Amino acid sequence: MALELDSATLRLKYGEPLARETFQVRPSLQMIVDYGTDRKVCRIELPSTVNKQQVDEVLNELIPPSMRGGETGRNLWIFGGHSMSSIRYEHVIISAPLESDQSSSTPGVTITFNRPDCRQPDPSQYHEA
Amino acid sequence: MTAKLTLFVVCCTAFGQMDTSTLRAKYGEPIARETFQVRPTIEAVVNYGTGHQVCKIDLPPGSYVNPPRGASNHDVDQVIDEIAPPSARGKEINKGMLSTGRNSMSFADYENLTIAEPQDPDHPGRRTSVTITFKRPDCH
Repeated sequence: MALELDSATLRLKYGEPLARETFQVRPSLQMIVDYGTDRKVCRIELPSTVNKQQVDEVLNELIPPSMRGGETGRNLWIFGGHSMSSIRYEHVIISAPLESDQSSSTPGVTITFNRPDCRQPDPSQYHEA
Repeated sequence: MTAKLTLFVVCCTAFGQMDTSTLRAKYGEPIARETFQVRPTIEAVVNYGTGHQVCKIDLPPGSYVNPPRGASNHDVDQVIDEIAPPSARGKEINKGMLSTGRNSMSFADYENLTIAEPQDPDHPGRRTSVTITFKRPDCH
């Protein structure tokens, strides 16, 4: 007999899932979305391993330059063997691995929305039955 | 002045409206997938088949990849046993390592599910991620 495990059982064991959804935005491109209050978007992640042109296309579709607000700063992080750059705008921060660093273990392109209700998930709030 | 104010309201209303409905209207229904925080540093990404039955669970690389800050191997094994208790896996069919070039993956195949773990060629023995795939006809 096959092992039966469903969404309700997992909720009983671990509590409600994270406010996160995954959309198929192109045939070979999935987008992970984290929500804040009222299911408003807080963070969007696109994988780094697909072609850059396609990622840029989706990025501009979601947050056209006119919606980002004025640029307020740029940062570059180098940690271990990875490097990330980010551009801060009034309404969003767009972070991406440097072009030379597109390994599968590198985080992809991330759009973080500057809103008070958008904060990093608190891992201490996990639930264990 | 009025035109500028109108533009500002339209712009900011549009900006504030990016929510789950907007994304559904643009890209359709999301994938049948949920993420549970199963330990402070371990997430479980669950893919469903019909009737919201679990088809695949990934424990993606998170901070447990880099102990001591993250979870230990013991924590990861504990989560695997919680999700797929040994008694529910069925008989072990096969166990081993699959290799393609530099990449390799350890696997344990049971009657009801398969547990696979890709290996990091640069860090032998280091845990990277775990995938538990359930064997049901509606899971493809």
